[in-house]
Amino acid sequence: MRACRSVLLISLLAALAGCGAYPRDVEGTLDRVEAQHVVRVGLIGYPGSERDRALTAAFLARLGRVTGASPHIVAGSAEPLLLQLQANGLDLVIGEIAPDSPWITDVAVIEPLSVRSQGGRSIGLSPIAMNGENQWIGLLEGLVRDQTGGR
Amino acid sequence: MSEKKGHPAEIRSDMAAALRLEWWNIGWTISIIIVMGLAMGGSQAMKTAWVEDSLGLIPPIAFLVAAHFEARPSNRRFHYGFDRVNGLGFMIAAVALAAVGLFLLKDAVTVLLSAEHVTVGTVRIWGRDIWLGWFMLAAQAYATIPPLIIGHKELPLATRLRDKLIHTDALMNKANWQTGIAGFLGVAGLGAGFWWADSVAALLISGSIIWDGWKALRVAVSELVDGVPCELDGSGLSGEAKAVASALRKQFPKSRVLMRETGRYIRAEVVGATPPKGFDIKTLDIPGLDDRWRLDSVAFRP
Repeated sequence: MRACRSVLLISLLAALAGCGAYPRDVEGTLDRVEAQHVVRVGLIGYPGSERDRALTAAFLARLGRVTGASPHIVAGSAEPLLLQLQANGLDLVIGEIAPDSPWITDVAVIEPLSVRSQGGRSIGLSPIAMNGENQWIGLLEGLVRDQTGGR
Repeated sequence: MSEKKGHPAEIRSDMAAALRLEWWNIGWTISIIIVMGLAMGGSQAMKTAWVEDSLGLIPPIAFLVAAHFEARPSNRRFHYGFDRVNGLGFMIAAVALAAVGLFLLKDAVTVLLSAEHVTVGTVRIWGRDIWLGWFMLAAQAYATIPPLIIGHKELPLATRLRDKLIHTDALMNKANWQTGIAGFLGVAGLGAGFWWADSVAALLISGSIIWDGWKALRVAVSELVDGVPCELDGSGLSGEAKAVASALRKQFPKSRVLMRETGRYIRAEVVGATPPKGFDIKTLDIPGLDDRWRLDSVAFRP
């Protein structure tokens, strides 16, 4: 009986994996971005430094090539943009965030595109996504690694 | 038995088997704790399962400590020996089991109420981005196998040894493999976009674990306050205790028979009677009590 259950479970999982994208997004972010050809992006502290602008532009260009979506950009400060991201009003926020920021557990902070030091602490320029959008987050992580050479 | 060194000859081989099994149990549980720790990432469900696996170490350690003391002879400070250390270990194991259930319930309710969406990222291996959930699923699958096998092996030993501590450990192993399956379903559900999957599974399982923990706690408390000998998996009077009481009442019809349980042994007291000349519990006819070692002593209070 237990063996039957295990086989059923594994079959169910295999079916899940086989019948489309796995993992899937809780809120379906990637599906929507690809379907609507628009990715809603919030940029923290835009325009920022020239280097950050170049890295962000390169990242968004990569994202556009993979998803076929154009960025719809909103600039602002961290708090309102991250609140908007949490409320599913944005698909992606890009900005500098400290590793011990109180937002770290509330949103999914991707590996940084670049890191700089300030006051003895490091701050990373990272793409930030809504928690639970695992397919979307996986795509963003892959793009960051491609851009940074996986360092 | 209590005033002598070591366990009765009838249960020595089962005790040796139980000791070996519990060492294996500890070894496998540590391996699960390591594997789960490496794979858990940011998943709360995995963290909960990891904490529960860690709590799973408590009953086997309690058993090994109790068995070590139980084998000691009585001394100047402990005239009745150390039979009840097993009961103390049983109490600790029962608390750990109930704690696992309550911990699981609290975590499931918290996640459901806060509608927490769990992020499980990827790792790049040989140029490919692999979802960390696959590692979690593998770890969860691994974590279900040893407790399933060990728990299954513990039950007959617990029955033969009348060892409620091992029985509670078997329940703990049952809790661990059930939690492992809940965690597996949770991560699989998470991958399918169902953020609530693991919490709902954990909520359902926590009920049965709390119930098992509650039953074990009741019996453990009963044993520590000199309650009557109980069944291995319940709080009812054990069949062997009934047999002892019945035999003693038959031989001493005008007396009262009191009984209590010290670890795995039954101690009886006959109130209102004096022992007949040459009375020996070894030769006392007790229909229904096949394992005579279970009856430790019969005292008389005229």
